[in-house]
Amino acid sequence: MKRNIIFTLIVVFSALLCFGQVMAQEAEKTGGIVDVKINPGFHWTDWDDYRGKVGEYEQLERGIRPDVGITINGKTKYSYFEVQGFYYEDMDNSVYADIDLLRILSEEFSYFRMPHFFEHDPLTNLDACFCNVAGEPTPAATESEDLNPGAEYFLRYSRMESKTTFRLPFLPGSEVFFDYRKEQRSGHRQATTLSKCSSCHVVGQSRTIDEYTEDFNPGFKSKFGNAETGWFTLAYDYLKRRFGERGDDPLNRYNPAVHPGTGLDVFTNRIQYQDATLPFNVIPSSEKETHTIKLHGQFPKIITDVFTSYVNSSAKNMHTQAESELESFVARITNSLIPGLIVSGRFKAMDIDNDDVLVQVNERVGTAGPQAGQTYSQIYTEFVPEFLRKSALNRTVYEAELSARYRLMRQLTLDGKLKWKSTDREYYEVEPGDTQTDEYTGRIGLNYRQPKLYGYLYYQHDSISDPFANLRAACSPSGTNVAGATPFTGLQYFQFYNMRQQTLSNIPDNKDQIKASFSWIATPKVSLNGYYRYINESNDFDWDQESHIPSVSLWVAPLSNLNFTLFYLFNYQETDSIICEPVFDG
Amino acid sequence: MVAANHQPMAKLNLNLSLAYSVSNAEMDTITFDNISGQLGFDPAASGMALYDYDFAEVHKLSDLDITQWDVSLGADYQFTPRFSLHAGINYIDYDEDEVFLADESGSAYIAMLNLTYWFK
Amino acid sequence: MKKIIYIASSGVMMLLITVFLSCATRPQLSMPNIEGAVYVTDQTCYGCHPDMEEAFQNNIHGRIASFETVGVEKGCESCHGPGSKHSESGDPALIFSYGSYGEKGLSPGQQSALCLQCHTQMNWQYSGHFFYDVSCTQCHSIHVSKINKLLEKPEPSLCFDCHQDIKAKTLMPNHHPIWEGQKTGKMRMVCSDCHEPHGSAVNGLRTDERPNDLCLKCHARYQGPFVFEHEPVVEDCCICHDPHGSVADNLLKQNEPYICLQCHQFHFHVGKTGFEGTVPASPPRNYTDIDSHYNSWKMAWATKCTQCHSQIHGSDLPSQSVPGSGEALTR
Repeated sequence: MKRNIIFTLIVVFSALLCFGQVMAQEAEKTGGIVDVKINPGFHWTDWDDYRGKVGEYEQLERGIRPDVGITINGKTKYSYFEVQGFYYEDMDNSVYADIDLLRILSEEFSYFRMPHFFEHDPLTNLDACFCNVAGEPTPAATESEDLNPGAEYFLRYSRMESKTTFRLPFLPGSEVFFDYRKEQRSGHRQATTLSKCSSCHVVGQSRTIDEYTEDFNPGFKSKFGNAETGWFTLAYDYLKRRFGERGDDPLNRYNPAVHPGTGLDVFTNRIQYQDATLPFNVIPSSEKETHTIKLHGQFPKIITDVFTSYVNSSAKNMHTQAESELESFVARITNSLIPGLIVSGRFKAMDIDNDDVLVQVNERVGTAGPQAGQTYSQIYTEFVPEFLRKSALNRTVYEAELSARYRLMRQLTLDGKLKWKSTDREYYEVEPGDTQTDEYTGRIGLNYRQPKLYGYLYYQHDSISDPFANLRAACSPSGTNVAGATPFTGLQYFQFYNMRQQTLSNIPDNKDQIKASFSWIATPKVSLNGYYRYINESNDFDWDQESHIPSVSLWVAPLSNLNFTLFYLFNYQETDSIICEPVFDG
Repeated sequence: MVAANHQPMAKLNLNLSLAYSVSNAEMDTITFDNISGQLGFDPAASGMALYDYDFAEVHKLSDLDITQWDVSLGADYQFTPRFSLHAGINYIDYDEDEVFLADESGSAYIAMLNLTYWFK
Repeated sequence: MKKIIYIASSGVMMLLITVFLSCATRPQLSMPNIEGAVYVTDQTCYGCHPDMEEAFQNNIHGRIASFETVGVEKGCESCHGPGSKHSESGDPALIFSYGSYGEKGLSPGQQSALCLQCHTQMNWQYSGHFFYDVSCTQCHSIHVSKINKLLEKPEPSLCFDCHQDIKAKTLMPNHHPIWEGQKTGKMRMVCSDCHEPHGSAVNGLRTDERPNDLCLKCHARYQGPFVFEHEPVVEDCCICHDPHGSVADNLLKQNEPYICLQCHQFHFHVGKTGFEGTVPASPPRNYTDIDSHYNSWKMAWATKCTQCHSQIHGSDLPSQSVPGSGEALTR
């Protein structure tokens, strides 16, 4: 093996030597310049215990293995080119190329592969069985099954990007481009699913991943005008994205939903499917189309900058044919006519519409016990199984922002920002009867900049009325009396959960931030950087969070040929939240 | 993090990098108000199963304590303007002191030797 | 919606016209100016700065074609201004200098204005970098950089010189592969894969839609739209995830179950006590032997919610329950 590696290295190195020599000679003949650099080598790797976290994005293969890199750059009469290639392992290699033909046609291409390792959950925490007052096991239980114990889950990730630009010599300032991007992931990940109502049975198995995301992105950009009237840039691009998962959907045998104690088939009308092998963890293919048009205007005479854009985007789930549409309009104007003052105003309007989906629940007739011969909704008539899923994504958003920066002195600027954002969700309530969230942001900051010392300090306050929340997250602490509930009669789970009154959210309705940073070049041999960020957030639902992030960095060069950098970072975050445990003797 | 760079000779460059990181995530002990008198049943004697609302150990189930090391040493020697050699070693360690579901601790050792040749 | 767009665009146009008319009598230039100077050629510059001639041979700025620059001179003077006065006297004050910002040299705003003559960055004046007086030459090294996009340093070190809180997060146990690229010299992700440092219409991100759409560019498996939604997923990925890095797995801001318990309650089963011992499988139970102990229930129901609710980002397939209408995201 070792001899083969050395032999391979010698062959590759020799070939690259010859190739590089030939290229350089040929370039000399034609008057071009070519630089070729080759980097053959080898690496030895070893690892202990588990390699998936220590090398989450690295291919750590034990032993001595070759690697090689090549860089070619140069120019001829009609072109400039740069090519870099690097092969480290079969899952870890890259190519980059940049070719420029007289600035008329240019192509930038990149490709890389890397591995990504994932966790393997052994599910061993899930085994449990009830205990009754006599100390005996009672029938109900939770259990788990890992069908691929010890399997190493990782994906081979690759990304290819190509940017082709055609600049139009007959239309100065204009270009047409075509960008293409493809991402692929292949390998295996763990997929879990749950059967219930004999036991809570979680099954984990390997799921084949073979997914691709492909973007086609043509467009054009054109700059025109002059210094007198102003410069305008018009840009349009179209995006077509396709996503697909070619790996087989995993199958699971969902358990018969029998009573774990009596074995009677009494849960039939509560379960949509049982005693059947069905797919799970199904990843739908999707397609997306986006049109973006932008117009930018620069007016040097009045030191004004204007921008406006319109986006129309639609995304479709190719399995269900459900589609969401987004429309967005942005306009911004920035002016700095008053010496030292820059003022910017911005407005955004966005509308998102997601298809409603009629969800049909597979109601089955009870086959045993007190509910034999009836469906669940026949017994509990207030329960309506079918429903129209109205998406929480549907919304209209407005944003307006005013920001300003004033130069107090040559080295010192003062800046401020006021921002308002209103999100009106069509169907999702953030407070009983109210679907709208309003956010107000105010910020003020100082920025100091001179050659040896610069820094900034800013304070920001966010006030959010009715932040995104879960309205029926938990039962009210005052309690809900469910006395008298017995199996199969009395209060049912869906009634119990619908009585929840406590709102919970991890989104603040008040947020204060302070951020400060400085950089000091004390001497040509010593520089010091410091940073601190403090965030305090809270909401009305007994949730608050505080973060402290200080850091310091010191660079010292005691000698001209020796330098050190020392860096310390600390990140602290504390979150307080109420936690609810419902009490239900069922 | 510590990084150092030294060029003892015109043709030789040495560098060192060391990063040490400690990450903790903990939940405080969960304590509920005493609600026994408000319940419609006795948690210690329920007919179907026993209940225990003492959650004193629950917070420990998801605690995280991770230590990471990343040490690199490298040397570059320029034999001629067209030919140089790079040698380096890298030690990486990921250690879970509080295991969540599965112990993902591990260490990796990498050594590398590369030649560089320029055709100018 | 269309009415709003119409009103907004009319408002912008009217504001523009008002500003233009009101200021038409007092034109000012933000661009710097050298009184009396005229353009000379690059060869004049190379006479005193021969090192620059070689630096520009392969530099993109040295290769610019005349049809790329609209109304701007090519060559050294496109950035450094007309050089006649400077070439006559050698006085550095008579040429645009991009060195450190001090008594001499251009202000960051002036430096940016010169670059923006050619480089149309549509949202530069809305960017945080512009507002905090970061000039183009603080990140880009125009003459001599060997790094792509003429950066002073490779990403992410360049960004982390200032954004140290983000640096702290990328060093956490769970992170996107940002450091790995620079550390090993191999291609991985960089900051500019997600962020647009020159400013964008959406919070400095590389998208014109919503921040979620940026995440879905690579994580398209969660695009949906799904039949069974998880509402915080469609609202904002960053309700649960921190894309820069986290201690908990999967870039979650806090570990399960705590992240979930901030918006949901426990299952009532968590309060049950477990049997101490092994429960053998026997009819009618359909499970295998179960090793149980007193805290088993708490361990099963209060460790990791997504062991059961695995389709947490949404699903087209129903979970088993009829009373729950299949919305539990278990399949």
